This record gives sequence, C-alpha cells and structure tokens, in this order.
Amino acid sequence: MVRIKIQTNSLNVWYGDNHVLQDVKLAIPEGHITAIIGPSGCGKTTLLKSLNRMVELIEGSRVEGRVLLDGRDIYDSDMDPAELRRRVGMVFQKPNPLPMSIYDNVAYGLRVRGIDDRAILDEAVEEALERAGLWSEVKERLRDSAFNLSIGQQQRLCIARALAVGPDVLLLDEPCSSLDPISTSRIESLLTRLKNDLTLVIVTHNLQQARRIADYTAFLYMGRLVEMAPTEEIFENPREELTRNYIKGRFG
Amino acid sequence: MRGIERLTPYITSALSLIPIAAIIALTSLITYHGLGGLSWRFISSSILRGGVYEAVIGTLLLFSGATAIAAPLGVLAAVYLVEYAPRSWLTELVERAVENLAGVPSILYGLFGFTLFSKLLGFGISLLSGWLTLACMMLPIIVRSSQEALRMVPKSIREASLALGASKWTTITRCVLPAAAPGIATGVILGVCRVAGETAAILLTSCFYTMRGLPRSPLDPVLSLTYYLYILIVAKAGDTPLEVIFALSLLLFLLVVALNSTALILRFRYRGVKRW
Repeated sequence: MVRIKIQTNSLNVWYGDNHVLQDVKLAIPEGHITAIIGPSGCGKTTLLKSLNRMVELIEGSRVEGRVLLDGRDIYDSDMDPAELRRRVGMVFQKPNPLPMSIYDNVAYGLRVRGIDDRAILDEAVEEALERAGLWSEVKERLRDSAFNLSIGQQQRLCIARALAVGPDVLLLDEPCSSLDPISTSRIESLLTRLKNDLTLVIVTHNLQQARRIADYTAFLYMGRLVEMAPTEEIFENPREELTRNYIKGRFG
Repeated sequence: MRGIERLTPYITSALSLIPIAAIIALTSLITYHGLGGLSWRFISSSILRGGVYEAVIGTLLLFSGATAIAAPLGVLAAVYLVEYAPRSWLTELVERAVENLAGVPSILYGLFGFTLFSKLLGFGISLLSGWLTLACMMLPIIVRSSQEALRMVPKSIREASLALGASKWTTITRCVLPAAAPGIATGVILGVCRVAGETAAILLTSCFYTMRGLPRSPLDPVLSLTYYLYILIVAKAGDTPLEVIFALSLLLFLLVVALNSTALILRFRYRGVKRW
C-alpha cells in the first residue's frame, strides 16, 4: 500500500463566475510520478496550482474544499504560503529563469530565506545542479546569465532551482511543451530518477509522455476528475467510456 | 484633385523640414553668439565677478534635491499601483490624475508651491520650497515611466520567485525592480529634464535676485541658471553684454541636451536587449 502525500477533498475553484474545478477528490501517492491529463481548458493547470496555492495569485480566483499535505490542510490560516511553496516546488510550462546568473538562480530560494553563508550556498547549488543533471554542463560558467543557456538547459535549471530548497513535492506544468525531443527525453529520465526521493505531479498534453514516465494517471474533463488509476490501467483498460475515448484520440 | 494628390509627398516632406530647421537655427544662433563667452572661467567665477558659479551650483542643488525626493516616492507609488492596488475606479482615477498632472503649466506648480510650501508651511522663498515644488513636477513623469517599466517585466518572473517561496515584497525588490531598473532610470532622467530647465516654478518659490553666495541651509534662497538668465534678460536688459546672456543660454542648453541624450541612450541600450 502506498502512502498518500497529497489528498484533495471536494476541491472547488472559481475564476470569477467560472467554475473551473468541481468537487475534485484526488489522492497523490508519495514517491511516485502522477500525471494529470485532459483536453485544453479542463483545469489541469488550475488543479496543479491549487496544490501549492499559486492559484491564489490569479485575480478573481476563489478556492473551496481541502488540500491535505501529509494530513494538514494547506489552506489553513496558519499555513505560511512561502513555507508551503518551499515544500511543494513548481516548474512552469515555459522555462522562466530569473534575470540573474545561473548560480544566483539556484541560490535564490535559499537566499530569500536568509541563508547567505557562502560555503552552504556553494554546496547547495552544486548539489541541486548535480541532481538536475546540469552540473557538468554549467560548472565552468556559473556566473553567466541564465538566459545564455539553451531552452532545454533553462528548464533543467528551473528544476535545479526548485530542488535547491529541498521540497518533498515537485509540481510540473507541461515542462516539456516548449522543448525539442532530446531535451524532453533528458527531462523525462531526470524525473524518473527524482521520484526516488520526491513526489512528482506532472501536467501533460502528451499522452505518450504520461505513459512513459507516470506511475499513476488522472484524467480531468471539464473541471471534473473522471478517473485516476495506475497508468497502465488508464491506458489499457479504463473504467470510464470518456477516458477510453480521450485516450483513443476521439476528442481532445 | 489629382494635382494635390501628386504634390502631397513634396508638401509633407517640406513641412517636416521646418522643425529640423528650427532646431538647427536655434542651436547655431545660441552657439554662434554664446561660444565666445563660454569658458571655464565663466562657469567657475562668482556672479559678482561676471561669472555664473552660484547659478550653476544652484541649478545642480535644485534638481538633485528634487530628484532625491521625487525618485523614491515616484517609484514606490508606481510599485503600489502596478503590484498591489487592485484594479478599481480609484486606481483608474489616480492614473488619469497622474497623466493630467504631467501637462499642468509650470507656473501653476509655482503658484501651488508658493502657497503651500513657502506660505502655509512657512518654508519661505528657499531651496527647500524649490525642491518640493520641483519634486511635485517630476512625480507624474517618474510614476508614469516606472509604471510602464514595471508592467514590461513578465509575469513569469514574478511566478518563478513566488513559487520558490519568496514573499511578494522580496519578489519586487530582488527580481522585479532590478529587471525594471533601466526603464525606471530613463524615467527619472526625463523627470530631471523636465525641471532642469524650469523657471516659472522656482521663480515663485526659491529664488531671490539679491541672493549672493551659495545657500548655507535648505531654508536659504538660491540662484539658478534659468532664473539668472531671466533676470539678465528682463531686469538688466541693456546692462549685460549680449555675449554673457548667450553664453549662459548655451550652458543651459548643453546641460539639458546632455540629460536628454543620457535618457535616450539608456532607452536604446535596453530596448533591443531581451533579457527574458
């Protein structure tokens, strides 16, 4: 039996009058990769962003229901969003390095927590870049602007940056959608390695990608969770007709 | 009608030459008459000995003090409007007001400064009243251009920082402001340009012709290049050699051109460079 890392209960999200997530009940197993699939505009990104409260930054958004991280509701008033986001990191669709050096990008999350000790930062930066498989490519030019890296490298930098603060969970919002196939496969094998000590949730448009790397897959349709099961089951023998049609490419 | 159609390009291009010709005429007139009188001696010796030293220092004091007041206030106001204030009729109103303030004639700023700072608050005709009045004039320009610079910073940068657990304020100070800095600097310099050549606003709030020497405190009056030029032309017409008046004009002209060019260079250097 796998341990549940994140559990959402009757999660509802509105943007103004638009009810984008309806009664979502989802259990995310620890130490595995969970993929969220579904057609455009079905609420995948919103669901992801409600797991670290980034959804609250969207103007006009309203969240109801519970999201339990290790059994504790992250929407509790005494939960500090900054501390939550340290534990639940996020990687975005388009690589978004900060306008600073490679080193400073990775050290950023530690520095904003008041860690300024050079030796500690050096070690953390090297470790995070190593884990993201980027160290050997950038160790000679840590002081270069992050914008000088290729798009694929920038995305791995964003992963390294998220890893540097020591999260338990990493949320990835279509991390490969702007990357070429080689960069994509590097990121996929990186994610597969990372699940040994992290819980990963990945939103993807690419069904093949979900099939390749995800242990569990959740299918979201028009703001509702249709079903969630081990990836193989979803792709080979889904319970719902809707899932079957989507997997077979009848709509999307 | 056909004839006019054919002539339009010639007419418009001829008309477009007028402003260029005006600039060339102005520049060459001032340079022709002023260059002979402009020297280091002229700039560095006291008004009492036929120089403009006090007015040069006065001008620098006036606009640097005003900038020191207006720049932080203007940038903070822009940060509030762009990053914090929810879109509402109130912020809309504030933005319209800021836009309109930039176009208010400077003599009205002078009158406002005189009434509020010199009289009501009792700062008198002084450097301090001048700083505050000029700061009011610069504020709309600085607020406007800082707002624009902040809006140019992509949302993805803010998201990146917040997702790493940075607070909103940390995100602004460590990521957004540095990224917007070139645009903000351009705005501040444009604000300085607006007041460096200003006469009306300080005429009423900070200058006495009988002022001699440099102000010893912010509550002393001050002389500026523009004000001194005005006095030489209006009050002492005939007493002053034309060469001195034009040398002073040229100095003022060069100062404003230098400031404007700095703003232009800054803007061009950062416009083409995509940093995200």
